[in-house]
Amino acid sequence: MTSAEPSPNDAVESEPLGVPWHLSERTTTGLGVRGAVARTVRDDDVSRPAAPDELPVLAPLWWRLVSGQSVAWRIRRLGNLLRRQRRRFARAVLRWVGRQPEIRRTLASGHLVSAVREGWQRRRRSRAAKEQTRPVICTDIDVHALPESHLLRRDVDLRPISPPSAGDAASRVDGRLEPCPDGRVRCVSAAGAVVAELIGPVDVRHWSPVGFPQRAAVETIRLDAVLESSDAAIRRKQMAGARRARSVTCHAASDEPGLSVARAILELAANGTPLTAGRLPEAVRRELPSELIELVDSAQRADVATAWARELHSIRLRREALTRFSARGRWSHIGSVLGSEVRCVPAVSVLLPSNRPDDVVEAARQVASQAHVDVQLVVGLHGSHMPPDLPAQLDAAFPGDLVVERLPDSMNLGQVLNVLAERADRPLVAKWDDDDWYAPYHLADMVLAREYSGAPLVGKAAEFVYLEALDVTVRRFATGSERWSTTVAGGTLLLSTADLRRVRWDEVPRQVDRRLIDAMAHEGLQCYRTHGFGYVLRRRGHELGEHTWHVDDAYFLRHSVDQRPGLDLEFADVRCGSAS
Amino acid sequence: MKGNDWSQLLPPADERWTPHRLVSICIPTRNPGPGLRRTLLALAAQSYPHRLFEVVIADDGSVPSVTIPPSLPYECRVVRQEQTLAFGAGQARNTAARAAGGEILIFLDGDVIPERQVVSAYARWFERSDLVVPMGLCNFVDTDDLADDQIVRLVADGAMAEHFAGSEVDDQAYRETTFQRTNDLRVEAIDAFRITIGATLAVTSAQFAEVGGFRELGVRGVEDTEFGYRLHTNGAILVLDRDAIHWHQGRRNLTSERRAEIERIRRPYVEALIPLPGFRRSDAFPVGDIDVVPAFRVITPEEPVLTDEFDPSFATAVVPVGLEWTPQAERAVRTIFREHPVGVVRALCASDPAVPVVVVRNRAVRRARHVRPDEDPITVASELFGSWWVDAESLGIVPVAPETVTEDAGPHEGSSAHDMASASNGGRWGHLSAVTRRLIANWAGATLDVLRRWAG
Repeated sequence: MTSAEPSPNDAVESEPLGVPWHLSERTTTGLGVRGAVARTVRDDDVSRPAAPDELPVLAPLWWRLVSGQSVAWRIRRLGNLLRRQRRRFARAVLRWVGRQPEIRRTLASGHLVSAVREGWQRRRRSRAAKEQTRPVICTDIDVHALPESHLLRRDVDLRPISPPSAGDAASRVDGRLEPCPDGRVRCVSAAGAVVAELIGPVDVRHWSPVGFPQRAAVETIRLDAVLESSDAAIRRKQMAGARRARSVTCHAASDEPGLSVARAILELAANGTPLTAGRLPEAVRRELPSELIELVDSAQRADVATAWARELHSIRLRREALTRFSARGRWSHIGSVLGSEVRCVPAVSVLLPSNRPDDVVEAARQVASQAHVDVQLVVGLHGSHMPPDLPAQLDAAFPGDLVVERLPDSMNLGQVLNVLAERADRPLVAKWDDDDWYAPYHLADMVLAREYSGAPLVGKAAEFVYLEALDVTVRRFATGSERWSTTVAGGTLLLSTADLRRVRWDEVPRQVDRRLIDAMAHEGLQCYRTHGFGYVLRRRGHELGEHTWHVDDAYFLRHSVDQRPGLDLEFADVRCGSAS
Repeated sequence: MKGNDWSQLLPPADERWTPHRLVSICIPTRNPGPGLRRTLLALAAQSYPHRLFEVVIADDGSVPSVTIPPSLPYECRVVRQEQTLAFGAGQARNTAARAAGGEILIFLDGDVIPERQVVSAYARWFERSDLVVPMGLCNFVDTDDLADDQIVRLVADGAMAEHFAGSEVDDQAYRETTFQRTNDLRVEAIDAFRITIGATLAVTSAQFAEVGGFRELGVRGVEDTEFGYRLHTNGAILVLDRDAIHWHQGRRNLTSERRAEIERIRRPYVEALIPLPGFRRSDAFPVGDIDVVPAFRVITPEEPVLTDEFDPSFATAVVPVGLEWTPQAERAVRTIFREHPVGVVRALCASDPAVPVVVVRNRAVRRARHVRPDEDPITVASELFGSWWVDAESLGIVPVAPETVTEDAGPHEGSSAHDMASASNGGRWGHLSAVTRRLIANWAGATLDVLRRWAG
């Protein structure tokens, strides 16, 4: 309350007195500065020694030895160490067993020894394959006709970016990239004029969400503390570990070089670090795209207060950073700066098998809403009650490149999918389920995950499940995303068309996805599991007859880590998906 | 309002209001030093209209009796009680509250100086809801070298923070950790009340009476926490108001021995009165004439969930006839509430899915009663605080009469020992005897089980 206001005592009963409700910004903005007043004191007084009565009082050494206090402590510590090692070992073995579902099958079929041997051989094969596939970034896009090393180099001749398609001269890019002394990249047109200067791509092999910790291990830290060290190696290590914090508040001193801070922010964002608002000098803001700055500035403490909100914020940040500053994003930008039509949008064929005419149109609508991808929709109708005007409805729902296959009822799901795979003409294929909900960024995120992980097969787990019988949305896993895992939902698989045509779907009526994942693993093509947001699996209830409850749903309840009433699409960040 | 998210109460930035409620500032004291005199003088600087607040000092048997400085610009009274307890703060606060005439009670300690905006800061929240319990911050500083008029001037100028900047300030670190964890109490948590301290607290006199005031235990360090627990259970909205800054005259001077001593004395009371994990660690026993507060009240679906009288237990379990509520279920439900502070937990039984076991936090039903008294309290509670579904079997809620329970455990992925045992009936293992097959399956299963146990 300011001292300029009239003394309130005079006006109590005579006339209403308008006192401002908000006294200061401390309560309303809730930036979470720790005890606003006390904090200023702390900052100035870091060298304050601990008060003597706060120090733990230890018994004298001889007494600790005689009484066995220290000995017991040492034994306990050793025990903990051994248990920790044993836990690590057991987890590793179980993980390995879990990754080899055939082991169990082969075990059951009798060849115990050969099963183990095969398992190890396959492990070695898949490791080698993983190492081969990892560095290859987005092999399916025009710009990736270039060798990978060129994508990250700064002095690349731009000419071969876009091969002259059908003799169209306009699609050719003439120009060169040169490194600037300050670390930027300069685009020089063929005539020699400098067209643009920009920040080079973020190296996703080092800065990617792989292994993002979904639970914060430490509380909020400050950006300038992360970037404190002048030693490059230490600084890199600090930055890599920063995502373990609940959040990193973007404070930077004005005398730090703007470009290097901006670059660090980009790399942290690509790494999944939850960045929240702070004070950034103008020199840094200038370097960053406004969308990223807005995301950071709008993030308050509430946006990282819970593990769910924190992960969601991190996903939005990394999406923004990776879309714009991965190699593909940078080349796309360079192309637009140089005025060429470099096609840097990933192209995906969506396979949508369906025997439910009610749901398939809605699913097509969701495919149509996918952003930042070039989608071909391949629908396979194989039910018995298909209305004759369904293709027309699909056409209306999906205005893009649509293929509708009417398939006989006698075909099983695997056969249907194989037919659809033959009709796919994009370099990537994604499988789609007709009764689930997908966010508009679903495919774009999957493509990003494929790029930064280098995995031949990516998917997301069915983390968010809508139980129709109970009308509740549950979240199943609080950890486990962004890692190599085969626990993924069938409706989210994304792989290259070439791989799919080689491996093919098993021609069986059920469990085709599981069998495809296993078959890929058998070939040494591992599956990467990205975050679970943007996809809600529907668990139907009405098929269960008049009983509104099914014992299998107990499985989802037992494993749920969070629940929301009703169909909560916001919960899974599926905003534009519509409920049916 | 959902949960404890008080930011939903915040009005638009240009909102104005007119103070109109009478506020009573209750100060318990016993043999006060010069601190009380300074506090009373500094209260004259309050921006809240002086006719709208009174100060009630409860004198807990001081020798000599407490006197107040002359010519204070606001009404100030001393209520005397005879000393009966070793630590009489709770009793004195109740005495002061009984004598107070205000709609809003603000509790203050005699050696704590509120900044000049504090009463306004508290009172404005009651314009938004009667259920709020705004609380402030308390800094501990050394004020010995300041004269009375200097302090009063500092408070009047709003310059306390500037004056003490750079000098040593203790804030209460344990409160700040809770504030961090709960985003300044906006995130619902079943133990959010642990930051309640008697020195910075405001509550309507109606709610004070409803929960029965402070417990007169005569023990340090438990009365205010326990009062906070009951307010929380009553559905109160705990608000952290970072504008309400108080300055305690004198640094904290508790030695670790003293602290351990206080902890030792208060522990049985905490265990008996606060039935929550973190407070009650094991079975609680009555202390003196203080009964143990049960964690759960177990009723049948016919009984009403809401009691007319305030019930200090943590939750109410509505258990249909034919099911048994076990200690195991109690522990499991408490864990669920701690991890997911929802209002209602519904446990579905495979035997009769139409009638689930409903466990509802008393905080949620009490809030429901205050907010929408005419509607079904459980429905409102789950709307306001959310609900959580579990299956009863995993909780350990069992049918009273033993029935055959179906072994179908749903889509289990990890039961490989079973897979092997069943798959080994035929196939290439056919040439082995049944006993050998069984042995191998058992061996593999046992190995995996051991590994799983190790993996934790």
